[in-house]
Amino acid sequence: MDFLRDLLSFPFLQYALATGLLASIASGVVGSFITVRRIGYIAGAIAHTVLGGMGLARYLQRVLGWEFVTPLVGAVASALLSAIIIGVVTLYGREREDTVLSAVWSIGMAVGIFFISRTPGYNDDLMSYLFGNILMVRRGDLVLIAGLDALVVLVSFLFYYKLEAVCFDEEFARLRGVRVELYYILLLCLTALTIVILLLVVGIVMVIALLALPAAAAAYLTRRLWHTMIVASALSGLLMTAGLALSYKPNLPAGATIIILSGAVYLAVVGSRPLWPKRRAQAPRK
Amino acid sequence: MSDAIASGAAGTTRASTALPVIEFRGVNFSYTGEPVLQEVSFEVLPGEFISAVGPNGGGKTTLLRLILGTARPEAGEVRVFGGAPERARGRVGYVPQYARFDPLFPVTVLDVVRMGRVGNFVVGPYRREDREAAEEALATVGLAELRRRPFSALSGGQRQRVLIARALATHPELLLLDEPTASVDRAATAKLYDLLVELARRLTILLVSHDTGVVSRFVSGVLCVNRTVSKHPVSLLTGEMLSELYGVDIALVRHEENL
Repeated sequence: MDFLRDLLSFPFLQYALATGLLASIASGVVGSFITVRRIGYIAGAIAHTVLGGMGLARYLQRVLGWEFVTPLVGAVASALLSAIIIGVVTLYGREREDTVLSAVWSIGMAVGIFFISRTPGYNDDLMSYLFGNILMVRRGDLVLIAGLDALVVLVSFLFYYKLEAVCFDEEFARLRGVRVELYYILLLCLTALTIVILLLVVGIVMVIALLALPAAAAAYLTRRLWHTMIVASALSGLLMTAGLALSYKPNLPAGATIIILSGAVYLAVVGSRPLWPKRRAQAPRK
Repeated sequence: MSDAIASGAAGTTRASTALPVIEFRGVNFSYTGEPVLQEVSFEVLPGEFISAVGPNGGGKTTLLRLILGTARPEAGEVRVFGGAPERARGRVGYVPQYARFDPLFPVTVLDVVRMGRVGNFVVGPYRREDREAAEEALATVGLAELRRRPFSALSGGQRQRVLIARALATHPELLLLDEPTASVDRAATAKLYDLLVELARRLTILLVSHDTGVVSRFVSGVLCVNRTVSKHPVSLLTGEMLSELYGVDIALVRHEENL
């Protein structure tokens, strides 16, 4: 109840809730694509490279005086860059995919830690992006988040059927003249932008859970991809609100609370599956 | 050139003067040095219903990939509708094995069939003609009443027919099927062949299969694929040819012939 009362009086709490709800929309939509395409681990790699972009941006800001390069700008740039690198390498490269992802993942983080250590002044707030701090979101961040959110949802909406077909059967889509590689990289870029939105809420380390768990639970409950997206977004919104409310009074970490709740909901849905009278689940043979 | 294609495809007679739908000339293909196909030359004419048979690893799947243009010959030439395979894709309907698909993908039967039309627009939703083509294709395979069911809730045979409908939604002139009866039970297999025989009246069909005995009752010709390819009218398919092709597998083939 303290949460509700304070929500009405404190802007920081309003920003936090708005961030959570906006993030839920992009997360539900893109998370559903990621879940059905089974590229959660790629999302994980993209998320971790973001620290590199943030660290470099802070370095450019402080040491070289490039004021406009805020850590969030650095996050957007590095997320998109790593999405494109991972996309191109996994599509055209002959390397082992997991090696490439591990390399991008850890080198991105290393670059971040390196630049943060070389930047004078107080930089611990950057390390807080590792675990997120939704209560630190400011008005300016909220504008950027709303913009990214609108962009992600609009692009997903415009290319929904293309992305659906590419996720369901890439080979067939290619034979039908769809430029599969382009849409795959587009999907990774949407993933990158969604990760930037989400990392303000739950931080780099826990982003994957928020992308994967509500969408995975929703996929069990629905029979069409866009239904999955709606349910996943609603579920995320509920989880964000509940996590924020539950963590507020006892002063728990909000991001971690949201993730633990998500995990519980996912387990409850998967665990109760055998009890449903639904569709005949059939594993692929061969 | 394009005039020749158009006039060739228009006639669906089996006359030998018709332009071949598929044409292989001296095709070689290998994976990392291991030859898969050698000196392959054959033609498939408009209206033919051909089954490509042969042991696993004999090159059947490679044959399909060459026709689809997803693999390129090292030597020789593959032509589909008189031109490069890539450029013929709009006229070819491809039906993969249903077992390849993720059973957890949230998608309905109609959603899957509509994906056959996904190359027809750039942004936004499917157009009305796409939806109509999908409904029509679904009716052709006899699954119109299941259109709102989840794809993964259907039986193997039904799912295979949905994938045929997806290919038909593009109004192809050539239908390529990869092991359509793999992991499909006997009753459903019989229904699948009924459907294919029906479709063969208006389409050229090439299917890849290993159940020779069953197939030979329906098709007009057989391609025996085992590094080399030889084409036979079905009436000439003899036990010796099969044993040559399959070696020790002949007992299994005979067994299936009694089906």
